[in-house]
Amino acid sequence: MSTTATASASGILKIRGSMSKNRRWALILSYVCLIIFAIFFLFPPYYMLITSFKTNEEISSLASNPWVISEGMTLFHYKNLLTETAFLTYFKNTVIVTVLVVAITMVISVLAAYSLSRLRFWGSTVLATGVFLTYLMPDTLLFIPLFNIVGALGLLDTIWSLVLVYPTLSVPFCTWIMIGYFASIPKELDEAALIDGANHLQMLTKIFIPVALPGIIAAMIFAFTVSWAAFVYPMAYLYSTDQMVLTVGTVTTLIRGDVYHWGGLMAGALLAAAPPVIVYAFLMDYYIAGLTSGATKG
Amino acid sequence: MAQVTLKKIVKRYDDTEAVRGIDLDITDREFVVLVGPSGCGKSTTLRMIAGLEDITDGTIEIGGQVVNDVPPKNRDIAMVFQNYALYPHMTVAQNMSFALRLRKFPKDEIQRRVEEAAHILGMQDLLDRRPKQLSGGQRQRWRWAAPLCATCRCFCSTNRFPISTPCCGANAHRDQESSPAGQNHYGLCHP
Repeated sequence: MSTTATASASGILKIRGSMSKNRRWALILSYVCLIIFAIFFLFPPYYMLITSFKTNEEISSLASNPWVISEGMTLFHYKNLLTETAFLTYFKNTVIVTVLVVAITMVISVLAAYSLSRLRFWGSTVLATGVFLTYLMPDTLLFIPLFNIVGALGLLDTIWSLVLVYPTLSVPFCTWIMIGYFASIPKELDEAALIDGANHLQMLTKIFIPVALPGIIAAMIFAFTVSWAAFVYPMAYLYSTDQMVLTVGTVTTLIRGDVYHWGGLMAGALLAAAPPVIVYAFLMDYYIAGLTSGATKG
Repeated sequence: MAQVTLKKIVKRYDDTEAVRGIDLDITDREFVVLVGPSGCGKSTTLRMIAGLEDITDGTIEIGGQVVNDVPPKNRDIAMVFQNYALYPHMTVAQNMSFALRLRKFPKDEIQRRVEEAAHILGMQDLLDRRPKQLSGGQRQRWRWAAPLCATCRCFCSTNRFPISTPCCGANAHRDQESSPAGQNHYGLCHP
């Protein structure tokens, strides 16, 4: 994203003469819109950040300005969160669940997408549509029947219930994304690989996965987000502190009765949101890069 | 050694007959060009020889062996596609050597063959580039390089020959003269 922005910025400097007035206005207008959107979407993280550094007195004082820190910064909420609560346990549990869910999801959905998009077998198109339809079932509806299954398997109140249940959300959608990506790989590449002597597994690992890497990363980001940010399932299946994940852990620890520990909640939310932001920032370029260009003539 | 014989080859898609009873003998090292209007079955015939299409009727022999049910990778064929079909994530050298690497050739042998083919096609300087970084003509030449360094018994192309580049045409011709024993060349020209 940053490279695009720099390219457009240097474009603005060069537009005199070569670029028509019309295009200049379009650029200015798009920048104005982008800035408004950026402010709009950066507002909640800013509010979280600023609140997490305020003292409890300042947060609860109605007279103070909520947009700035006026009574001095404090790291109290972060210290409190890391030492007095089980935040680090939640963090560890979330990482374990997410890594496992992403791995399971990618293995299943890449194999499924390859077979559904390339190995034309009887009923493959119907199955591909069916896979996507299962994704349309909302988790708020599924958690009740799944509760029975998870309970029967003896997994209630363990993080393994989440490892089992999250892929039901992530696999259908990731498979669907991957089917689209694999379908966009020209058939000639398969045939060239076939003549070069590749079997299906080699075709998948040496041609499809590298060529569809942007799609695979998009699917991974999705699986990561599903697993990292899910709320309903952990809320329903986890009860003890040592098994909780970030989302429910932070909320149950820092909202006691009707007392909201806003500073701690904001600090917890900010720390919980950091890994996704870092992952997005690192993978964005990959996500956007179109590796397939230049593959064929047309 | 790599005599190719087609006997009464038929290809039917449902009701449409794409190829109707072709008989063709191609002797070792013979250079054959199929010419015809669009949709007359040139590509289909070559794809059947390569094993990418099933044959409705008839037999195909390569080197005296009936290959009707032999999968493409065991037919020892190299093919240049109409749309190049270069692996976009590999460099020129990796693209050229993909077939050799899959067949587990020793590293120095692969290196030698790649350099030889690159020399023939005048592409020594381009070995580290990716498809995106090449011009259309270079991509065309490149796809010809992969078959040149493979151990094929026959060589099909549904692409135009790279004679548009004079030096390359000469080189490709020279290579045909000096090609390793048993290499057959078929071509398919688009009028």
